[in-house]
Amino acid sequence: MKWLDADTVQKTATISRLLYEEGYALDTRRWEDWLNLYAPDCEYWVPAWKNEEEPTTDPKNEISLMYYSSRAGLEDRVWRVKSGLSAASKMLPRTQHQVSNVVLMPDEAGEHNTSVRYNWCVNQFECDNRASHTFFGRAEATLVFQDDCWRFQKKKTLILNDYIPTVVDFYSV
Amino acid sequence: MGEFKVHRDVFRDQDIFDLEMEHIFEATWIFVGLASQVPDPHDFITTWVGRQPVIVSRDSKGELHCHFNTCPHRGATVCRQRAGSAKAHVCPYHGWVFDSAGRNAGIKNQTQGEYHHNFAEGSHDLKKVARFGNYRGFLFASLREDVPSLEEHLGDARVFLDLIADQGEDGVELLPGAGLYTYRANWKLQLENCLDNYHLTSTHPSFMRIVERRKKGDSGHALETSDFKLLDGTVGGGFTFPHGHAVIWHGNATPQVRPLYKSIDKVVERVGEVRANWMLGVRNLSLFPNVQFAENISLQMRIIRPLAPDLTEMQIHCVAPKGEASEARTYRIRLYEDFFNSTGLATPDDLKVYEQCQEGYRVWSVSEQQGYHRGMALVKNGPDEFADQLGISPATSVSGNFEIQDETIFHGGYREWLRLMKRAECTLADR
Repeated sequence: MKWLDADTVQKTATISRLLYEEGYALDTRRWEDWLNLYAPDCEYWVPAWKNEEEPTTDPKNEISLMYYSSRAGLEDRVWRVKSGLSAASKMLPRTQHQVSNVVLMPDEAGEHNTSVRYNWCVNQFECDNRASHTFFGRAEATLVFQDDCWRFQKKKTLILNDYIPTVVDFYSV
Repeated sequence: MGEFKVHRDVFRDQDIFDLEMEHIFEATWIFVGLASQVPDPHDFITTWVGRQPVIVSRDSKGELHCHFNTCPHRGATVCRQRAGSAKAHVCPYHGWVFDSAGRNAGIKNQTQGEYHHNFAEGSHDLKKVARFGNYRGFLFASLREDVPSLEEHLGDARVFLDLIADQGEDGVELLPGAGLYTYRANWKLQLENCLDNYHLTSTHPSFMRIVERRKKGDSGHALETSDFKLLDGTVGGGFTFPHGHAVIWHGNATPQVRPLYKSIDKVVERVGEVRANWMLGVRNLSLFPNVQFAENISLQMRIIRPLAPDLTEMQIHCVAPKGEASEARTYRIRLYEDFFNSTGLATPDDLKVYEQCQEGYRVWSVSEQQGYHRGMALVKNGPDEFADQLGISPATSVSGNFEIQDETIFHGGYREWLRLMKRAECTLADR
């Protein structure tokens, strides 16, 4: 089967490594390294939910939890976390990202781009509240090989438990 | 004179919280939703009045209803979805059926059931709430009969609902994608914060600086949004109304940075220049005790659901004129996500601060708040010239420079709180 051939296995490992690296950059608060994994014109999208079954599908006409048509929106968020001016970001939770079920979508793959879907889970510990939360969901991403590195060109992250305990930010997904 | 005392127990005491549920949330008009959430026959939403689950539905003839969401038979809720459309709600336990008007439409195996003949004479419908009211599509329910009419309850705060409803030729709607979040603090922190100008520059400096960075080009994110710095030097103020409602308002130095601005000519034609200007201004409206409409960037509706003295659930929606042009709609959404979203750049800062207040309330040796005194030397009873523009008679008015950051705006809510809680005293004495 196509998805078991050596090339696909090799590429899956490479892309998985990028996904792990993204989580690790967030977990260790290497914000610039994290931003660097995104192409400058990447689309970053965390849909909201319309009802119990359907996430929002149209960021132009429906609400998203986060939506940016370029990396600059993420840069604003990183600036805010680093600024020391945001009560919600002053004492960051400890986070642990996990990525699993990484599957390349072969039909859309090319030499310099590829699409992937995977599951994610973030464990988050809030030191001040002495509370742990888990956020989890699915993600789809399109990656592009740019300047010797695979980067996100497009990323859609679906949060399945969107009942938000006070703060969910880019480092929580 | 010169004093307004709020004891910290009202934020932290379980007994007081229980009394609030019984004598405020289950005893006065509570916002349950917009008629536009149930546009067609058989549409419904589920929500709560106080602690009690209800269904708001539109029947086959288009009439609106509000019933308790509990089967009269053994009590199961007959509907679990937050919203949907159903000609009938079937209880999942023993299969009793209710139509979209709440009427019993079938009792499983009734004829074979050997019921006493009295059974047929009783009602087996879903129980209606005591009062249900609709002001221009804003729906409210009360679990007690002895409340004033909804019009009287809302009083002249209605004009501020008009300033929302009239933004679209056919009214307003909620955009798909509601937000649901909790914070670990008392519900009244949210009630206050919506009216609190004083916190803006100290709680949201990160947002203000990001806006500044975008303006200067230090941020590549091109979203043009309201700059709270420009509030300095603008005239603003607030009104309180009987029954606990209040609004803070401000002039808007950059009305073009508003989704509504793109259709303002049509709005002026419809409502006149004065009201159109008020629509473009900053207005945060708080209707006691559970709904707020904040329009300082785009337009947000917040529903407050207290769960415990130190736990509150919030449901938030982006509100937009029906039929809005697509460019304005997208702009509205981006502004809303940026500022209002629970995952945005401002709301989480508010929530964290509420939680720090709640933690501070553990200090039992401090019982009084000092947060209700700004503006006291200025507040006047009745309308001011700005109220006159709208033809309203608020209970109190304050106006002046933004930096007053008036705190008398909270007084009306606490006066209504006290009025309702005093009824608790009477009830307790009767027990």
